[in-house]
Amino acid sequence: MTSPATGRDTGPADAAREALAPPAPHRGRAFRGMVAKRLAFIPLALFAVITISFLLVSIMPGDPALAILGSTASEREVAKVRGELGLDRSLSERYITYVGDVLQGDFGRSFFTGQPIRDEIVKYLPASIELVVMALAVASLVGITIGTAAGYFRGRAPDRTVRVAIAGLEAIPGFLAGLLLIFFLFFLWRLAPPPTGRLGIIDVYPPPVTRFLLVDLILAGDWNGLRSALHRSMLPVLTLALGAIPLFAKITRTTVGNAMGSKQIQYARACGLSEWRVVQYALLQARTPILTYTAMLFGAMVGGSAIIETIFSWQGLGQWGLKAIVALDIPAIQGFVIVTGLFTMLVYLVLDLVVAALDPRIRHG
Amino acid sequence: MSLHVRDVETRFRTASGEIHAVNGVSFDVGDGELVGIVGESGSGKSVTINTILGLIRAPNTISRGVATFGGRDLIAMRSGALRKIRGAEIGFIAQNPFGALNPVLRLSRQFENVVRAHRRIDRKTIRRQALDMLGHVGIHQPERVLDGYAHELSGGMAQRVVIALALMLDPTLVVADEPTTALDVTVQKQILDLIAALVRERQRSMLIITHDLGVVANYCDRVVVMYCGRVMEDGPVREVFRRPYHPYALALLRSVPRAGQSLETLGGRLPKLNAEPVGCLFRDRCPQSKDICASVTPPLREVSPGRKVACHLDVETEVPPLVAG
Repeated sequence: MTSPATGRDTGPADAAREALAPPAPHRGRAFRGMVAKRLAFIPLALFAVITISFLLVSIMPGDPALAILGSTASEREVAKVRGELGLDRSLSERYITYVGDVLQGDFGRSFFTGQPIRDEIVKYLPASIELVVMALAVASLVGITIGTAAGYFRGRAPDRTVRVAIAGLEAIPGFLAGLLLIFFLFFLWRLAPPPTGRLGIIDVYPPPVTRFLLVDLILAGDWNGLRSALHRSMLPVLTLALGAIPLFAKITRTTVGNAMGSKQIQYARACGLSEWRVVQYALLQARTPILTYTAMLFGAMVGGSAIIETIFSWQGLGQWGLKAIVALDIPAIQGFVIVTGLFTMLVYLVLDLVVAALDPRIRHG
Repeated sequence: MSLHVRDVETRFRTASGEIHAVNGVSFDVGDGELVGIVGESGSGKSVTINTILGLIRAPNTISRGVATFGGRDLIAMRSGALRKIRGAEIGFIAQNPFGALNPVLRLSRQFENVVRAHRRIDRKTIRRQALDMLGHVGIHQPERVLDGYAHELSGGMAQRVVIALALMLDPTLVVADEPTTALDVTVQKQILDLIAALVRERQRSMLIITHDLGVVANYCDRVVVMYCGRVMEDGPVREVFRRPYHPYALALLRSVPRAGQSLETLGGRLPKLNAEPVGCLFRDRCPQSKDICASVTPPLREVSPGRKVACHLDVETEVPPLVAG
């Protein structure tokens, strides 16, 4: 570093001043615009979901009145129940009433329990979210770790091992994994509590503040209850996680593997960065696809884990929705479709915002 | 510091057989010397450099040969030790700055990461040095550039940042892989002037890989002409450009467009490199080829002081001069 004049001699001022980014006040405008656009889309999509859920159930075969009364009911009784349920009115009339009710937060009452659907959703949705969050936490930790190892060592022994493990896990259906885990961990080895719900018989449910059991237990300061609930979460979380691990591992293996061959990583190595740093750079490249995948899984698993929730008596949204479908409980099915649809939309919204916030190219427009 | 490369070979084992990408390359980069490696795409120039720097990580790769840098053989070196040389003693200038720089990390972080991979220096000092270096490479608002991201820069500025990163630890050898191919033509000359000036000013050695004969003519002391993973000719730029000895070098120089003349092109295509190469690899396209060219690989021999050619011909008499007549 002898003369500072070198820079001036070799690089004309105009050239070096070419196109810097727009000055600071303009930054973030694109980001806010994107947020506004995404938010504006929500009501539109919600309206579509409500319409679809209404039509879907209305054109489904089977008469709800018959489902309630049983096949031995007389025609007069059936007609009476149909009248009570409003099924004797025209489709368009029912549609308008329904949309109006839903927009006011009224999803109707269950044909069978007579409970407002909204109360049931508020009761079951938090349980499913807790289950899925725990399962995704475990699955992403394990899946991203082994996926990174496989991507980094692509084509070598660690990669082959991970691929065999992925294929093995993929071959086991969720319900079988659940039953096997119950058989070994509970029945044979007594390492896990029985699959009889989220708390033991002697455990006391905390006052419902957030309706998320684990959060409520913490708020109530019931540490024994929390330990019991976490212990009982072990098997269902593990079962659900086992299904998601291969998905995380595959997406990570592919993205990290591709990143390892990228110019960016080659340059990082040419600069002498340590292999840990190089893996960190590769994971930064893989971040967006992994986040996208997590959001997709989150949306699909809340409400989509019916079988596993049933096996473990988890009392979640999926279990409730499955029951409603089997019983042809139309208001419940409609509520289920709308809630899972809305939930998925919100998850995707958050995903878009997080991805945009993490990427300086989007964040600063 | 000088670099001596001897008989470097790189082969990739693929499902459809072995690819012989580099087939015994030798050249030297002396102290304070600027050497250009020229060749068309696929001539193995980048693979040679990546082999020397230990940047080829693909499984099923075989690398042989010796590359001595400061008394140490880079090819035999363990990857951890070689990593410490890369970036610190050998600076690297990438082809496309936007492909090379990390898009999601602030440039200040990237400077820190590079420096801290080699030295234990605190952040403030690194920042000061980085600002200093950015000023040296002709960036006028170093603070703003350092606190921003790569995408906020123009191509020329991004490449200046890459040059600053390459020179941060004051390497004794700078390797530039097609340093201006990804840039606008108007910026290319500025960047090359800058690189050459900085290297000469510090009396460092430099290796430029390029397919642009103009770059070699304007900035290098010596030229190494590669073809199919072999060195065809090696010598001082002025002499080789005035009177190329190897028929391939001749063809390459004749294919440079000149005003008022019709463009000369070379017939034929590159031979496939999936078999152990025997004989001269240029023979099928060479107008002067003889029987021996198919059976015996011509060694790289010294024809006159400082000039080496890998050809069976008596190059001074049998190869026509660059300008006929």
